[in-house]
Formats: sequence, structure tokens, C-alpha cells
Amino acid sequence: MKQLVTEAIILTRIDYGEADRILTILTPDYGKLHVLAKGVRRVKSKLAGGIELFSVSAITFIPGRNGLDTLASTRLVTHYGAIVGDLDRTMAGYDLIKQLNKATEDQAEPAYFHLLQQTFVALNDCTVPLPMVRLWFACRLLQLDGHEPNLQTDTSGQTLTAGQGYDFSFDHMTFNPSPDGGRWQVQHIKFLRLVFGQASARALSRVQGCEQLTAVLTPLVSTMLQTYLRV
Amino acid sequence: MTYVLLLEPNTLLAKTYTQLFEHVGYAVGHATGAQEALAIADKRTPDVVVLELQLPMHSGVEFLHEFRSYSEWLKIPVVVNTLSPPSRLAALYVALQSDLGVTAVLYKPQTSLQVLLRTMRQQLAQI
Amino acid sequence: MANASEGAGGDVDSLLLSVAEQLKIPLTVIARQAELGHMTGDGTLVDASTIRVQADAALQLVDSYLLGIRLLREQTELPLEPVSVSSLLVDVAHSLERFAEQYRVQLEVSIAGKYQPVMAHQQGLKAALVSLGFALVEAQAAQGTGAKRVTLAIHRTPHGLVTGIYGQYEELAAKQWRRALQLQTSASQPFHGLLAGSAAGLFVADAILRSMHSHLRPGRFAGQQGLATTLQPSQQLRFV
Repeated sequence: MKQLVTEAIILTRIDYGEADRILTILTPDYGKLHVLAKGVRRVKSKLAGGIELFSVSAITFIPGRNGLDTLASTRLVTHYGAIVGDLDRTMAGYDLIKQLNKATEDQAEPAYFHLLQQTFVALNDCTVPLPMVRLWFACRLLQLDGHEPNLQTDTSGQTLTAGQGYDFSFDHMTFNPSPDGGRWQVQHIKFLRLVFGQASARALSRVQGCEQLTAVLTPLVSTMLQTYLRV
Repeated sequence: MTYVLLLEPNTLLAKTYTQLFEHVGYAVGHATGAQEALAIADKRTPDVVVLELQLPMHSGVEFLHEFRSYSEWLKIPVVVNTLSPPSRLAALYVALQSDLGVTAVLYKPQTSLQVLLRTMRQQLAQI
Repeated sequence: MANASEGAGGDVDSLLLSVAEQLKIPLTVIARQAELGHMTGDGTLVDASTIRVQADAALQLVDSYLLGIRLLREQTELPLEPVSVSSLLVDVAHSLERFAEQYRVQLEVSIAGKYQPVMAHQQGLKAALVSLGFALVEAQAAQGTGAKRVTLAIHRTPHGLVTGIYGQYEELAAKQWRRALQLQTSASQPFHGLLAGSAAGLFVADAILRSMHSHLRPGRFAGQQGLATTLQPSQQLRFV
């Protein structure tokens, strides 16, 4: 029987029969998979008992029919242990896993694995403020889903300029010149460009004024997420 | 007989709580960590869990995430009795409740044995 | 002279926060023990010895913290004296004995051979080791099932006299210790792989040792892992 090897992050687990569980996992090579872990409800089984939140594991699985593969073995590769040292980060991590799982529904591109892995890395690094990790994650999620806002031009195609105040249109996902000052200024848009452009959240924490910018932009990005991804 | 799963890393506090629970006629399974707690729950399903969030190796949230993933443990009331300060817990309370099925959150230093017991009885009565 | 404020242990405010968090534990134990007797009407359930030992441990932590702060602030003038580390270790063991008993942790002292005195601040060194001991005994007690044993040991290396406290701990290596020092100010459980809570005893011990131009670092002894400090025997005293 053909066996495949990849890395995986476990998203959810549900019971299956008396002794088995179905794990929903995220992998860099095969996207989102549902794998049957046999006998793991017995705590002493070789696959069982591990508390796998915030971990990347190396797994071997056998491709199956009807979208259900079978897990053959698993080995812990990296456990992002510092996350659990802080309650806020633990709950944030848990929440972001849930958001990603919901946003990807039945399938996910391999890029989602890297997003979640980088999120763990950022959460694991206490020098990166938690709100920044959340903002970065939300932006990356929007981007992967094809709902990145237009940060270069307004609805009529005019380049966004300094000195102009803007309002945001959720319908068009663009900033538009505001007749009365506008909610958003150039520094907000520049920071958003940076957030959407960064491969990791760590770099954002070096930007001057980043914490304040994060606080101001978070509600905007959260609304985008709720509107388009329903998370 | 009501069976309490007590997840408490400090063994002296655990002894005090165990003495109280046994005094009122409960049986107690005590674990100092998350993995041990799962093993104990696997041997005998608890009627209620009393849980400290600050645990060695894994957090109480990790325990709950694993615990709640088993269908037979989905409805068991969980009373969080923790050293984590209320200011921290207030922001997380909704998430603890809605995502992890925590039914009561108590701040350990200011929670008397009487209040703990009363809270547990309230949770058990609602099953 | 090394700057004693370098490293996470030098942050006075964060040390205070750690200690304040840590004090919740013995004070909660005392409060609940007292309440237990009153609530059940059974005085035999109350362990007066537990109350006394926990109160002593809390006071020791406060004293160690205050000493640590004073030593950090008075960096230039430290009253050094010849200290017999072997005798000090036995002294520390006595201070930890009842505490370890309550936590059902067996305490052992390992001093093989004779060692020259070191020039050190005796009170500070003792306070550091006692603080460390309280934390590691509690950590050992929470490490699941099986026999629990903590060893206070001194042994000679090419770098000096390594004095430390050791046990069976799953995650106690240089990387985790460095991470814990970084997380001291920002995480509620900076060293959760070793013990729950703020780990104040470790940071107070480290702060005191840093004021003596030393510090804690992970080490191994007789198959156990732990935290230790390296002390230099006095060359002058060798000739006395």
C-alpha cells in the first residue's frame, strides 16, 4: 500500500466509532486532509494521548477513498510551547486555528499550512504583540482567499495619494477620497501594504507606531473578514 | 457517587480540595497535569472537572481542547478555578465558555471552599 | 564588573510581579486549610504544620526578593566573606526539609570530597539556593507519578565549584531557561515546561546570583537535571 509522508498541523479531531478518531489536518503538500487514526481512543496506543495543539508533526498516511485517508504514524517535529505559557496567546492561537478551519471549509491550498505555521511562530515569540499577530493573520487569510483590498488605487482607478483622507468601501474593497476629511490617512494605508506584504508578523513589530496603527486598523480588517469569509 | 476530576498542579492545594470533596461524599481523581488528567478521565468518566488553567507542560486550555474533542466528555461541566487574575479572565470568559464549554470561572485566591462547592453543585444540578 | 542588571532577572518591577503572583499559592493554601477545619467542623483535617511551613516559605520568598533588590541596587559594595559551600548546602537542605516533606519529595544532599571556601555573600548565596529549592521541590512534586527526589549537590569542574539543585524534569535545558528569562516580563507562565505559575523563586535566585557576578544555568548531576551556579574557590584562602 502506498504510503505518503508530509508535515501536518492538526485542526480538529472527532470520534469515529468505539476506538477511532478522524483528524482534520493541514499539510504543505496536500492541503487539508481528513485522516482516520485507528485505535487512538485507547490512551495507550502509539498515536494517542499526545496533546497536539500548536504543533507541527511529521505524518505517514495511506491515501484512501472518499476523501478519508488512514494515518499510519506520527512524530512530533516542533511544538510551539511558549504559546501555552500565556493564556491570552493560548486562546488567540485556538481562535485563529478555528478561524482558519472555518475559512477553508472542505479544502485548503498548501499555503494555508505555511500561514498557520508562521502564526504559531509569531505567537510563540512574545516580542511580537498579540494584536499584531491577529492583524497579520487576518490580512493573510483575506489575501489567500482572494479578498485582499486594493491598496494602490481608488474605485475610479486614481492612485492613492498623501495628504488625502479616505473612506473605505467594503463593496469594492477600496479606499475612496472623502469629501470631509475621511477616516483613513496615508500612514494607515502604508501600514496595511506592509502587513499584506509581510511573510511573517515579526517584521511588523519593528515599525514605529505599529501598536497604535494595529489598534486602529484591526476593526477595519475584522469587518472585511466577517464580510467575505464569515469568520 | 459524584466523581470529581481535579486538575491542580499544587499538591498541597489539591490535598485540601480533595479532603473537602471527600468530606461531602465525592470521589476524587487528582492530576497535576493535562496528560495525566486525560488518562484518569479515560479510566473513569468524571461527573465534573475542577481545573486550574496554569499547568506545567501544557495549559488548561490545551487540556480542554483535547478533553472536549471526545464525544463522551462534551457535556461534562468544567469549573475553572484558577490563579490567573480576573482582569485576564474577563477578556477570555466568552471564549472559554462558548468554545471550550467552561461553565464557571472562579479566581482561586478569592474563592472560598464554600463558594467552590456551591458552584460545583449548581453545575451538577444543571446536567 | 559585569552589570548585575543585565538579563531578565535585573528587572525590579518584573521580579516584584513574579513574586506577587507566586505568593498567591502559599497564601491560598493557608486560607483554604484554615477554612477547611471551620467548614467541616473537623479540626483534624487542618494541618497546622502545612500552614506554618507555607507561611515560612512565603516569608522566605519575600525576604529573598528584598535581599535581591538590595543587592541589585548596591552593586559596588558587597560584603564578601569566606563561605564553606558544603556547610551552606547542608544549611539550605535544613531550610527546605519540611517543605519537601509536605510535598512528598525526598531531599538529598551530595557533597563528595572537601572543597575550598569561596568568597561570597553568605546570606545572598543561601537565600538564592533556598529560593531555587522551593521552586524546584514544587516543580518536582507536580511532575506526575513516580518517586520524587531532589538533590542538592556540589561538585568540582575545571570552571569552579558547581552548586545546584537537581531532579527529574522533562524540559530543563539551556534553551528553555533562556526562553524563560525572556518571557519573565511578558508571560504568566514563563517556564511552564518546568513548573506552573510565575517561577518567581528561580528568577529571585538568579537576580541574587547576578549581583554576585554569577548566575543560574541548567546543568546535570548523577542523571538528574537542574539549575546550578558556578562559584570560584578563593585562591588567597588556599594558602591560609
